[in-house]
Amino acid sequence: MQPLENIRIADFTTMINGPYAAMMLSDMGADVIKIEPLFGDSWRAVGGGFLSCNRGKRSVAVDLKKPEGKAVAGDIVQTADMVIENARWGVWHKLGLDYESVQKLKPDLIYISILGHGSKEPYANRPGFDPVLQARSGQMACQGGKGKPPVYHLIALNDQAAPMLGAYGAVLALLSRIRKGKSQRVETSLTHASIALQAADFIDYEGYERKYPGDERLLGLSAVFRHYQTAEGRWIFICCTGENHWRGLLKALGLENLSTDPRFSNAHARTENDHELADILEKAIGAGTTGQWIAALQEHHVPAAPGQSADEVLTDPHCEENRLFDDREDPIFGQARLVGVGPRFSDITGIIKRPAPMLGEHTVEVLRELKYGEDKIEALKRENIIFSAL
Amino acid sequence: MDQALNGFRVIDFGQYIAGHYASMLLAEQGADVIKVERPSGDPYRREPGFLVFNRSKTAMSLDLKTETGKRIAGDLIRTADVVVENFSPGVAHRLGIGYEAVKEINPRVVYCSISGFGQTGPYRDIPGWDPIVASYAGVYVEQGGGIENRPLYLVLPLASYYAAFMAAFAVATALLAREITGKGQMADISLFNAILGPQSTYISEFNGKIRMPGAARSGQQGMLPLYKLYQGSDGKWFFLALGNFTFFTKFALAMGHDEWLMDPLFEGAPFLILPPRNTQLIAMFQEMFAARTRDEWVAFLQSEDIPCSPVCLVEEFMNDPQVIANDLVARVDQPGLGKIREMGVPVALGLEPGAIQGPCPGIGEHTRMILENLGYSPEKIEELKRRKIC
Repeated sequence: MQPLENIRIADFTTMINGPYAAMMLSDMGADVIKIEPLFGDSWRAVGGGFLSCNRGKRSVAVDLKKPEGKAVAGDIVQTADMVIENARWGVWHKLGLDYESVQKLKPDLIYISILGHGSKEPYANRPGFDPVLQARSGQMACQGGKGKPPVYHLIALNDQAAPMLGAYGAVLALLSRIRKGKSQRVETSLTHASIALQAADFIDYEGYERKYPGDERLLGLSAVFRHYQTAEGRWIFICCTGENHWRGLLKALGLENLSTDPRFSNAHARTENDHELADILEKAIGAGTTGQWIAALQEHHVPAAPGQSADEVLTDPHCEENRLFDDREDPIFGQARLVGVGPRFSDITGIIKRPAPMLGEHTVEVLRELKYGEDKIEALKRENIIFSAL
Repeated sequence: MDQALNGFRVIDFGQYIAGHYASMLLAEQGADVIKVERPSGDPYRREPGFLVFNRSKTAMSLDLKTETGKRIAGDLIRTADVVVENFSPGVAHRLGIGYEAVKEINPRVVYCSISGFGQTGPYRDIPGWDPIVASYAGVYVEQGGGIENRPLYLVLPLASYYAAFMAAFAVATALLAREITGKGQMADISLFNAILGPQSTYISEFNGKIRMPGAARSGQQGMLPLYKLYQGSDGKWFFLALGNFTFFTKFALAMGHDEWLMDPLFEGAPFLILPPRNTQLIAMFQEMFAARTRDEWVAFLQSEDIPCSPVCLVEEFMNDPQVIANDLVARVDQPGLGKIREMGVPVALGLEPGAIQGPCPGIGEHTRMILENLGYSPEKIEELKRRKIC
């Protein structure tokens, strides 16, 4: 079953954080209508990104700056259960699509805002992009190390956390509507997300000692918790967190002679002699292949992993067997393999109704559902109020 | 005040980060969360994040390895709406709290399992430590710039955090499904699956995908000239985030270089300026930005409405007026440590705002009260304590 199958969402979002949230809800069955400007979501230009944030949706292209276009959006909102937006704070107030205005149109509407900085002053209406928050929140300095060059995370950290939090909030609001008849606005932001992604570091009290382990060339945190290079020039990660792992590590690497070495006899001694230990392990691991070491380490119950690339993940047997990817024919991009539905359930089945839509692919279909006559649709097209790809 | 998850009881058999964090997110939206912990205490208690991930809960100690302990767990589960566990696959089953057993006791339970690689597939039994999952999922190799470069270990345990968010979303979704069907179910959340979604932009395959060569991706301060870290004359860093063509236009005009808008060097702006033009432009901008201090650039760019940010430390962010204005720094009275400043609630519902329900409890702090509520007599409770079952 799909718990959101009777839920319609008017999705006014662009780029990553908003579209991704609406997509997570589409995967759970919601009918998501993506309302785009006539020139499209600017993330369309970056192919892979758009495909991965907009599957399952229908696209209606409409010029919200014209009154007739605003009327079209209003008609869609009238039939919706939820609005999702991620514009700069204040944009929808100007267009009459802010929460207070649309609530008048439809009192039981749920309204999800996924903002850059949160709606309260002083910087509420500054533009927000993921790395702006990576920089400001401490994430880049955390990875780069205090007083050293900061690191820009390739994963759009906050752009990807905010939609998960937003989708969580959206479902909470649906629960409250169904249980208590309450409808409300939900807010999260890149700022909220950047804090949630540093939950263990965003902390302070008297006597708290902050650590700065980061470095732009960081391989790990200790000799038994880091990457090592193998004979073929690839890397593996070893993650020993207890004595049993340490003993297994020595067996797997054929270094049992170290078990009686006073330099490494316990965790404290190993920390004291971390560099020496790292040198020994570097040499040992460098003499064998990735496959050989992963097999030996896993046989001795030492947590270890090969460092895979994105291309290797795309053909990974675990992904294959668990069907973690969605393979389908995209009208523009051909046979596409993309990351599939995230959460797995025993009863709910995720559903991907269609690939990411072309701009305005469903403009006419949706307007017909709203009982617009053919003449009116033609007139809106002619006057460049709407765009239809078909 | 009323909250979205009021009336739902969660039994938290969480470990480490993901399970604890997911349950905390549920607690702060109103769920009654009982943390069940071994009588010797959770081994993760030493870590600073523990206080945050376990606040807002009540705590009960219980030895699940004894028959009596299992019976008490059954009594708790009988009163539960949600069960969260993140043992290695198979362990919950051995402890008598696997989904099959729980369903027998209480078929309406939403049961959320969080593991490294999920309950099925060839990697199921690989220990699910965060860096092991991240290595298999491509995180460190891609951040390093691909297989011809050295990987970069990331300090933030991203897979665990995303899994916590996904688990909270999944539990709420399954609770919504239960309102419709009356049935409970199981959600299978994995750190591996949770970290694939945030990488979906580059873990993808389709016609016309643009692949930047590894070396061109490996710059840890970013390799896109209009979306990158730069240094001012004082050596301090800021991120310039021209996330769409409009902001590129504003930037060109503000810098007095209208000709950039027509210059073929900038073709593909902002995200698709490919090598070798990207390095050429990066060198040009770095030289330009060396003319003034970082703070001067940031003030100037922000006055021109151009997205950018100085690189800050997390402790600076904790005093950021925007963060404070949006209620994202909470003060919690933690017995033994005094006032702690920590993250607020990352998702805000308008009518039912979440709230921190209390500090992180001590080991078994509420055992007696919870057992009394389950109908255990004071004598029985004393006996259980004496036998170290509770």
